Amino acid sequence: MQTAYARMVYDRHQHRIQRREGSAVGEGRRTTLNLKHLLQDLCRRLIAFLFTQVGVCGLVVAYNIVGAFAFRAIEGDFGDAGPEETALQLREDMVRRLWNVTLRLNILEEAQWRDAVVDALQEYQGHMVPLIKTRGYRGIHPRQAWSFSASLMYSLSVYTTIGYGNMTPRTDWGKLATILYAIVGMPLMLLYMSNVGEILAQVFKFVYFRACRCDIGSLGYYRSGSGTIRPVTAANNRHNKQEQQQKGEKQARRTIPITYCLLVIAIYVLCGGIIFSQWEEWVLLDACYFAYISLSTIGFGDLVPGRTVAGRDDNEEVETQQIICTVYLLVGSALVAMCFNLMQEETIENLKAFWRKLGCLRKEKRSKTREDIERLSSIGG
Amino acid sequence: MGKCSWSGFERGVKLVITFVFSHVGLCAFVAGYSVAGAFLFKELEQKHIEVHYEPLRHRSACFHDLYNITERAGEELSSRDWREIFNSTRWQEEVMERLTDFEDRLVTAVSNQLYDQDPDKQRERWSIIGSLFYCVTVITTIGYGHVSPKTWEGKMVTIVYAIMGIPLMLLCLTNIGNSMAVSFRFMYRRVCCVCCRNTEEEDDQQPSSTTLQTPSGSTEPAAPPPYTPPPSYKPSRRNMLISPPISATIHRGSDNPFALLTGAEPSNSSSKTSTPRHPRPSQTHLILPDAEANRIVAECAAYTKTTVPGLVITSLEPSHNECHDYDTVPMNNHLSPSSTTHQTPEPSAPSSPLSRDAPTEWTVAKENGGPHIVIEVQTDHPPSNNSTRPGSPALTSSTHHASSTSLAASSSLSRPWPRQESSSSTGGLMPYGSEGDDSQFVHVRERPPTSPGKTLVVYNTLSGDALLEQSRVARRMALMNKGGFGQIRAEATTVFTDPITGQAVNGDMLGLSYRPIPPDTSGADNRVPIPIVMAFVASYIGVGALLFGWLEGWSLLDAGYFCFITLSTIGFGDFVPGKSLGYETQEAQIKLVTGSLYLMFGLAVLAMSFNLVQEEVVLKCKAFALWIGLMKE
Repeated sequence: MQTAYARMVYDRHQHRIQRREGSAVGEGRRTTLNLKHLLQDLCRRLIAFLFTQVGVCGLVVAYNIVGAFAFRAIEGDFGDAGPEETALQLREDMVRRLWNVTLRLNILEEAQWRDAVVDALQEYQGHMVPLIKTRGYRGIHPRQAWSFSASLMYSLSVYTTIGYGNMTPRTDWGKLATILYAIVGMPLMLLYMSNVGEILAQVFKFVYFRACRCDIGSLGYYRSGSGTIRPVTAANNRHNKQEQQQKGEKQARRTIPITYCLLVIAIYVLCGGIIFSQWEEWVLLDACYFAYISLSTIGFGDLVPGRTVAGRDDNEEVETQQIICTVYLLVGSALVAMCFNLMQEETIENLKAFWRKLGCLRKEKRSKTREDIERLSSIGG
Repeated sequence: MGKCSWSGFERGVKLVITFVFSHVGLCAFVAGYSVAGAFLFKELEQKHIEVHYEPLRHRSACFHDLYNITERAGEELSSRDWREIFNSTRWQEEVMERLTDFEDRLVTAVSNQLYDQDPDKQRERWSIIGSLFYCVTVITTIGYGHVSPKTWEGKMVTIVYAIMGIPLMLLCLTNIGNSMAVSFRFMYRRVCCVCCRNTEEEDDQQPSSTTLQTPSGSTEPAAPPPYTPPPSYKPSRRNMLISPPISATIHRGSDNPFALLTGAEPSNSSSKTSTPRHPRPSQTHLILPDAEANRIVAECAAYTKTTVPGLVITSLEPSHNECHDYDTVPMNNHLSPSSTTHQTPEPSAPSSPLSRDAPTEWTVAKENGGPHIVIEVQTDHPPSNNSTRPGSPALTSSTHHASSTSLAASSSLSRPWPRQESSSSTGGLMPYGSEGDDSQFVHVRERPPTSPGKTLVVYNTLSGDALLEQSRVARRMALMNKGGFGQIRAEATTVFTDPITGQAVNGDMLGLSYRPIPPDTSGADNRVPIPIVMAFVASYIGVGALLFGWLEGWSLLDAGYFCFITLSTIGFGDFVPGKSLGYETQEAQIKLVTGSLYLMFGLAVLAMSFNLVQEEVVLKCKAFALWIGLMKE
């Protein structure tokens, strides 16, 4: 998925370069007269809307919710509660055994009682651990475990490829459904990331250049202009021209330094960390670690909000927390996509320059052809 | 001296960096990175394991609680009549509650990997192999979570490690995927070459046999002596890599909009009326004035002089009545019974060694001064081509011709050629341009050794708007064609590919200045169909399922689920190789190594399949977007 996304972004970059060079002439669509055509057109518009930024967001959210209901039905209602029954059985056996121990050995014979109980406990633990490890016992009945919000997080973790693994499907149908859900969901997520990432990148660029860069640039320009006290000579004029050219180049490039992108991500992670550390009573580092591991789609699952592992109380609060966490992750992935979008241009250029500087990459030919094309386009245009 | 040594050092640095960013170097770098990470995490995590050994604490606490409960019960017992109070129910309830609590803690501990039998064994989990597997799961973003850092140092280092490692892994995977895609294409081409061509033959004969029946099969043995490629003629293999699936799709070229160019001729319309037409047939702007066409021919001559072993120029006219002659012309001009065929030997350039070996010819078939100039660059070397074609050459050539126009039309994705001063060989070629015609279609088609796949389209520079219009329309057509929405899929896209070197032809080399299409897109025409790639990935998953089912004793569904979850980098961690053994035994470590090898290779396979599929998917999406009117050009 990461590879695919990287390739996609890179290709888009290339296309943008080409588009900038080439000629982009729009063409009006034809109007249709037939009723059938009208219907077709309607369908097209619907699909077209679905693939716009808003549509894709809605699609992803709807897909998430549908997935939540589906998994809740499959795993929760018709799920396999075998491990829970086994655990209950084990617990009752244990109580009976302890009772027998207590009955047989009087409490007064403390040493023996102690030995027997410790043995029993150890055995109990020995039974329980494989149950937890291999059969996925989590201490909650699946109907409670696969609550709506938990299923929401589960389906999110599937199609974003985070994969916490704190809740996993037990039934065969659940596994198959997970596979299918991922197959459909991952391209959708890719689409979401590219679309929303693009638009966020544009917004970010706009804000960035409006808010800071333009003012500073113009300031610097004015200062340098006022700095020249001498009368305008030819050399000075040339110098000014060069400066203007430089400025033009800078504006033409319009990229945002990588550090800003990283800063945005870091701030987002930190915000998430603060929120989660408040809710879950984690250490701040732990919460930031959780946010980072989630946003990078590693998803260890050792720290998951909502205490789905053994939570039995305050259900309402947990549900809202999980839903907010889902939203946080969705927005975060879009933000990561935005930074990817912003960074790749800069990174590619930097890397190319670096390699060219080192002489490992021969770029002269390509740039020459590009010059040719520019010249040609100027002639043709 | 100092300068000299400095430059030597610089060169050394350059060499090192070049090596690092080559395939081998990148792989080695990733491997080194993960091994270094393994040592790092081993150091960091092994020290702190005892601190986190929680279940012992929980058990002792539980035991104390049990003792308290029982003691309280005992006090009650000692005070009164114990038979009545010391009913088991209350005691049992309390004990049950306490046990549930213990169980919860146990669940937390085990699912967060805090539990193991004892600290020594737990330390084994962060053994060098375990840490290596952990590092692999981090940088591939799988993140099983079967082990995860517990110390704050470990967490910080994990974050930094992932920041560095994930892009590195991405780079490595993309690189490996690229090279694997190239080799996969090659393999596909090699393996499927024969069968594809066979099916293609059948495809060819189906539609054309109704109208075209020529007895010209006997002319076949008169083929020119086989062109023996010099050992440096590697790209001919690459060219061979390209065609059959393409031509198989192309030959059904009658529903192509540009078939209308030929379809406008009354002779061909009989074979093409039954097929659906393109909704916008009016946009056939590939019409060039006379002089321009001449110049194009000249340019082609310049092109062929340097690079292409054989060149055939055919000029055809629309009002020609006999489709047999018309159709046979572009294929084997010197063999066709058409009487109007002229053959002129190409002035072979002494500079190119290939033109000496290859039988080069300029054949101008000119019937009634037609508007077509079909320039076929024909490397007629493989005799196997002729031998594998069972049918009459007229049949194949006719379809070839139909495809050539469609190809030429669809391949106009290429940039329009710049205005070019006619080269020295222009004078000799000028007469071949048809006089007295208003317009001509000019296609230069380079034929790869086995079958027609690639196309050379020559556009002259009609200055200004006409050019733009032309290229735009053609591009759009090509896009829709390739997307396969209502049109055929003419996949031969890019042109100007030097058949000798297989690279994009540099303009200077040909004495022309046009933009060489980067080889990345020129490799587009040896595309592997999506279902095959899908089947490949699925079979990889299936093999993995069998492997892990055998190794771990999982059911087939579970093993397949594990493979899918792993390769899609979701990585739940409910199934991890060696999990049931607790990661500490030798066997489990072997399983871990197997798992990580499978995983790395699988990710490379996935990257490869993305590489193979992506272009087509993008094209399809674009065509779809065009179709629904979301995107405008």
